[in-house]
This record gives sequence, C-alpha cells and structure tokens, in this order.
Amino acid sequence: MTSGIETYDRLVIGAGFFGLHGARLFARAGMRVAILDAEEAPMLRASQINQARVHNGYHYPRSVSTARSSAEYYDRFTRDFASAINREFTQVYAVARAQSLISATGFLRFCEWAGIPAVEIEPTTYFDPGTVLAAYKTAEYSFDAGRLRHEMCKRLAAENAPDWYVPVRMASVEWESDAFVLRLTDGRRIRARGVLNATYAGINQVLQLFGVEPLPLKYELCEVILVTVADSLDGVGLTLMDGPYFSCMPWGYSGYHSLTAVSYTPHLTSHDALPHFECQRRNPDCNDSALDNCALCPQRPATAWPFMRGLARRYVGDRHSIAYAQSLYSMKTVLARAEIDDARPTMVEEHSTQPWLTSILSGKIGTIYDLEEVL
Amino acid sequence: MTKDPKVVSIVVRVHNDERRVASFLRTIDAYFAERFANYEFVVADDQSTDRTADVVAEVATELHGSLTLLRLANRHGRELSMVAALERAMGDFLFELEDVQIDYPLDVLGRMYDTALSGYDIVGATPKRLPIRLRVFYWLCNRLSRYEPGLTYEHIRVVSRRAVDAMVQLRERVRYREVLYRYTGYRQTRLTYEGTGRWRFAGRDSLSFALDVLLSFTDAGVRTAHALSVLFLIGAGGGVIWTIVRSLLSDSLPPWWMDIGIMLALGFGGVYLLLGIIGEYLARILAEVRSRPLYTLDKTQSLVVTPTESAREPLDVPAEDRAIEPVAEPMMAVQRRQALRDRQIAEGRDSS
Repeated sequence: MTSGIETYDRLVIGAGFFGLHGARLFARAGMRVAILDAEEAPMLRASQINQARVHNGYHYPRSVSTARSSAEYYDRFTRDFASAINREFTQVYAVARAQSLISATGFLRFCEWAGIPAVEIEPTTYFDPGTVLAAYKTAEYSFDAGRLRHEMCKRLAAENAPDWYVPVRMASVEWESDAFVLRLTDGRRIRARGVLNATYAGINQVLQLFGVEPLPLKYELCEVILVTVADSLDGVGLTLMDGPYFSCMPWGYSGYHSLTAVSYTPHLTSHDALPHFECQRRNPDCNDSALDNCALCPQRPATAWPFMRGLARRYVGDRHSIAYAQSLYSMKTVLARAEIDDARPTMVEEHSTQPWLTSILSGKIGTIYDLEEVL
Repeated sequence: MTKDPKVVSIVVRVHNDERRVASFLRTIDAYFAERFANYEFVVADDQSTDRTADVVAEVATELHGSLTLLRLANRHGRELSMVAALERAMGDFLFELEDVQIDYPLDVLGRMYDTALSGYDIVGATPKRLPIRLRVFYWLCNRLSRYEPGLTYEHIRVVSRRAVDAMVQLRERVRYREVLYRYTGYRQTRLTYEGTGRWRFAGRDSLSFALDVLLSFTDAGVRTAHALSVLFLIGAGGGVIWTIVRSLLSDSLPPWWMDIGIMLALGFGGVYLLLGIIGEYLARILAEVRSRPLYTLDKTQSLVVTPTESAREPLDVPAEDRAIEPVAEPMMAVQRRQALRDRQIAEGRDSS
C-alpha cells in the first residue's frame, strides 16, 4: 500500500524560523526530514515581517519570568547568530508620562530584578520635554531576517538536507498506528512518523486537519512600517513604554527603521479559534482554514502611517524627521490567555506521542532554544 | 503535575509573631513548593519586640522558596508595612497574605491564583461567616460609602504585577488596599471560603485601622458634618420662632429679650451653615491632596485601524512624508528572491 510514498521520520510543517530550526535538530539527530510550506521559499511571513527585535526582556515589566527567560536566551542567540545581529545602534527605552502602566522607578527596579542593564539618560535628547518621565540606554539588538534565513539554510545544508514540499499545503491526513499519511493539495502523498506543527498563524488550521482540539489563540493582522530616519536617529532605536507604546528601531541591516505602535500596528483582530477576517471575503485564496500571505495580498489594509506619524510626533515632535518608505503586513498570533501579565511564553503542546504530533508557538525569535528541550 | 514557571511572591506582615511565624512559613512553603517552580516570600517585620525576626531567619534556611525579610525602623501598621513589602516583591503575581494566621483552607490560594489567570487582576477571598463585630463594621462602611460590590473583610488576595504597580503609585498616607485597588480600574472578583481558624482580635492595630477606613474611605466624616449642620440650622430657625412666640405670649420678659434672642439664634445658625460649607471645602481639599487618579482605564482597544475596504484606493501617504530616496525595489520582492536562493542552499543545490 505504502509503496511509492516517501516516508520520513519527521515532517516539519511551516518553514519559518522555528520550523527550520526544528528541521535542523531532527536532521542532526539522524532523522529523515521533510519540510512543508505554503510559500515557495522559507521565512517569507511572520518570521520576517516583525519588529526584528531580539528581546532581552525589557518588554515584559509585568512578567519577570518572561523577562528572565528572554534575557537568558538573548546572550546565546546573539552569539549563535552573530552575523545576523545588528549591534551598531543605541536602544533607548522611555517611560511615557501619561497612561503608562509602569512608573520610572518601577522600570528600573524591574530591570534590576531581571538582571538586564539600564542606564538613565537625559530624556530630552530624543523626546519632547514633558512627554516622558525617564529614558534609559539599554542593551538590545535587532536581527536581520534575511541574514538569519541565510545562516539557517547554510546550517541545514550541513546536515542531511531535508526534502522540500513547496509551495503546497496539506489537504487531509490519516492516522495510522505509527505514522501519519498526508495527502497534499497537489495530489502527492507523504508518510511521516512524526509531525512538528510550526505554522504560527496556521497552527489551528493544521490541528483542525489532524482532528485535534484547537488552541486558544488570538490573531492580529499587523502592519510594520519601514521608514527612513534623519541623521539624529541614525543608529538609535526608540521604544516607548508602556501604555501608549510605540517603537522606531533599526530593521536588521536593511537601512530602514521599523515603526510600530500598540494601538495602530494591529489593524484587525480575530478572537476565533481559526483566523477569521472580513478581508478574506475579497481574496478567494484566503480563508480561515488557509491563510494567504498578507504582505502580498491585494486586499491588505491601507497603511496606518498617518496615525503612526501622529503618535510618533506626539513624543518626538519634529526634532527627528521620519519618512515613509513601505509597509509590510503579517498575521501575528498570540495565546489568548496572556493578557494580564503580558507574559509571552513559548507554547509547546504535544498532542500525540504515537505517532508523534507537536505544535510550537512563540512570538519571539530568540526562544528557539525551547525547542531543544522538547525534541 | 508540572510546576508553574511564573515567579510569584508571597507577601506577609509580621508583628510580634514569634510563636506563629515558623509554622506559617513551613505550611505555606510546603503548599507552594508543590505548585510553583519559582516563588519568594517577602516578610515585612513591623518592628517586633520579640524574636520574630530571628525565627524567620532560622526557618528561612529550611524553605524551598527564597525569602526576603524587611525590618521596618518604626512601627507603621499593617497597611504601610504591606506597601513596603509589595514594593520589594518581584513576582508576576503577588499573594498578599497580610497576616501569619491561616484561617483559610490552603487550596483557596490555588483557587485564587487560577481565578486570576482566568482574567482577573485582583482576586480577594473572604470567609463565608464573619464574627458579628466585623459584620456590623462593614455594614456601617457600606452604608456610608458607595463601593460596588461592597467592602468586606478580605485579608488574603492575589494581585497581578500591573495592579500592584498601579496601587503603590497612589501615594496617599492613610491607606486601605481593598479600596485603593478599585482605583486601579483593573478587573476584580472575590471568592469565599469556609473559615477554619479562630478569630484573633489585634487590639490597637484593628481599632486604628477601623477608624482609618471609616474616616478616609467612607463618607462618614463629611456626612456627619452635613447632618449636624443641617440639624443645628433647623435648631436655630426653631430658636427664632420660639423667641418670637414666647415674647408675644408673655409680657413679663425684660426689654430687648426678643431682639437679643433672634440675634443669637440667627448668628449661631449662620455659624453652623458656614461650618458646613467649610467642611465641604475641606473634603474637596482632602480629595486634591490625596490625588487619587482622575480616571481609571480597564483597557484600550483599537478595534479597527483602517478599514480594509479603503485598501482599494492607493496608499494615501502625503508626498512630503515619503522617503526622499525612492524605494528601489519593494522589500517583499527582494526577500522572495533571496529566500529562493536560501532554499537552494538548504537543499544543497547551491554552495555560494
């Protein structure tokens, strides 16, 4: 029956950064690995379209546990992928005067607990007087997704190179006693003894095909604006905490800064188990069981630049000129239950051991090491 | 059961508790060691005169969690000691146990924590049955205030980091956390449990605390002042009428009696009225001094930023906002090309 079907020890669904890392770990363990992705090439969605921040913990003043685990991985990640890390800039964190959930002293105390450096600087160097309570020079870098992908692919090639099934999706699956038999949308079939579901926004869509209970997720259609900055902000990243949060920081080595803000970066939100958005009605290739690439979608929302520009102007005034270059869109996915303390744990869920099926969801690129503990 | 990886803090105030504190720490520690991988005790010693601090230091070495002991230099009372400890605690969630007396079944701590994780920033717990003096006290408090839900005895509580940060930012001197947490605007709820312990009356502490709550967190003072000034004003008005009636009915009164009587009654009436007005202004000044937040936000949601319908029109970025150097090639096109090359590298087809 199974003759003519390729058999693999592990199938990785989703060629994002976590998927590639997982594939590499499997290959290194001597397993025969395949990678499946809806895109033709790796890391073209959320792995690439984000702030490009290597989190060192500063973002989680209400979750020391998240901050500490970020900081722990941070050193390892920046060493491990040194060629893809942009260190050549000063990262400034500031605490907003109005509606901030944290006080200036609270932020310093938190940094001390989490064991991450923060040196107070004169806020008016970067911000309009009276808009922020305090500003701190911190140690945090930015990664270049393109270089990260290049590095990861080189490492994959050094192992027993996996087979690629792209651009294709899985259509259905049969559970056998020791393996899954997947039928793909192009009619091919694969047999896999284990499956790693690293599809991020597609995680529940894949689980649905496997007939597994969906995870409690929330989806946000996000826009990252790439901007060019004046010389005064060249080599500087600004991050404003904590309620009316916005950030303008170097985007890897692209020469652009990314501009994002809590209130305007997510354009639309879906609280359903599967990502359900109104714009899907106008794109026949996108629905709640198969997402298209938002960055290339003709139905993507118009840019929120006018709002973001306004928000940035409120804090930095006209002292730093910021100019619009282009917008990138992707689907951000977070666990629905992390609202109170903003914790962003990496979620690893083993749905089945025989045959093996595990899902991984993480919002931070630096936490790939969580995979090693599990696999 | 795998242990919860979040950092949680157990915050407690002690005062002359040398006989109770050891068993308290051991009992709570045993419970938390089972559930949590990372937890700490923060103990505020409110100037005990006995061996409390020594006992804490001795027991600390046996515990599974870490322990920080704060020794206050003066006696500050329950609320301020708790602030000192809360500001020191670093957990993502904080258990305010307030007192070393365990009059609750331990599993209520777990229930409170689970409730907090399900979406509440502040979860209190209160015994199902309260002694009569507490019932009377809280009934009075609720008659004199308009908190919803009403106040009650709540000496254990689980609070999120952000709620604690917001609460300690309220710098008023006379404090009562149960009410201050309401000014943070975060979601809260209350559980009930079967009380197990005996009630300990904490003497001076409890009395001064009760007075603080009544004067600073209910309208008791202002309402009493208003009631009294109205009462005296009515009395003064009655005095005027009585003087007139009396002098009309009787002709044996000395001369000027009526005039003096009216003058006195009106004068006092005016003074009472004035005191009422001054009282009202004082209440307002007090409100200014305490500087409680002007408003409390639950959360802000930008539900729709740009309707996707508008995507059909060209992106509306004014020319002067655009980068001076034109974008040579859209980022996605560049990335796609590079990604295809990277895939070939990964497949071993390209060694560049």
